[in-house]
Amino acid sequence: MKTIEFKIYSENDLRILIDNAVAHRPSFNNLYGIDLNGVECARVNNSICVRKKFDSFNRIYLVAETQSELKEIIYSLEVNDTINIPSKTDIGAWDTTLISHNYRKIASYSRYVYREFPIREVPVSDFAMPDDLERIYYRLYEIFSPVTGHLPNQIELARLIENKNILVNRDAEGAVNGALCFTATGKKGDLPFWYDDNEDMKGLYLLYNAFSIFKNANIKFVYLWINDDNRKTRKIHKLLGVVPDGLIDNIYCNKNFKL
Amino acid sequence: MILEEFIKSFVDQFDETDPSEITAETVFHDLDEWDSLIALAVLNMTEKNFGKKITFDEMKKCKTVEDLFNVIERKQA
Repeated sequence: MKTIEFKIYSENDLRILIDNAVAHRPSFNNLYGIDLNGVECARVNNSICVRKKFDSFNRIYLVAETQSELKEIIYSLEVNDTINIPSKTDIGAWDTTLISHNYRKIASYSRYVYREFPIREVPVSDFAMPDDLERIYYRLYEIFSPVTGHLPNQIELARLIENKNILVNRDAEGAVNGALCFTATGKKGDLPFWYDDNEDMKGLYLLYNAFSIFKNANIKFVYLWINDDNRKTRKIHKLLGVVPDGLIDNIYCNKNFKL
Repeated sequence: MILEEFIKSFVDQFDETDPSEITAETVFHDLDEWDSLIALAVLNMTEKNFGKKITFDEMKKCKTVEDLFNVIERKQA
């Protein structure tokens, strides 16, 4: 098999390539709603492969017309190329192809939705301040894997702090020891990340504070992703009324890639 | 509501703790398994099983299982 060649295309040319690949009724497609800024793209006949670079790994998005073209692309990928496959249906064909090409499934995340918010009287949480950025950033990357976690980079985190999208708990010295990120667009809210290093119930205060903010902003639905192995977090959210919406993000990486 | 009934419901919120470890006098914050998840489960249990909503602050001020029972009892009175 020959190696595929990645190139940077103009936004317009990239859009044409994607539209063409999608028009050929691809059997495999995981290119949904990604920011195309700065990505590279490779073509194999009517199939395309989009590569988005991160610090230590790349995310790969494929629109493949046939399984043989999918195989050709996967065969050419680099060790640090990871693949997310979000789907509400069986991904058996993807899984078989990836596993037979030296890939392994490293995690799956299920998407959940709140349609009603539990409101409870709790102490009001602080918003993160610019000085909290480094502490939150390093703790986030300690707790979660950037490969599976879709974590914000420092610039994105600074913007979230500036926009008052992060609630925090602090220790006696004022240092952040718990943070919850929430965002809202229109009637829809998201809970991108939540961690808490306290041993008592303070972490829950962050969540209840976010629910109050969502309710006051007239948000109707709030979405979040939970690692299927994270039993505790799933149980907390289920006690609070969250339900799965059926979408599961399956994450694969090369067997030789060190997480 | 009787204390024994409440203790049984309280014990049911734990997965790993030996039920014999939990009595009316147990300082529940000191239990190894006690954490925010169990706290939330207990709050939900008091609402669901006994129809009474208590706050985190009220729970935090309680030391023993019986203290918690008494808080809920007072709400019922």
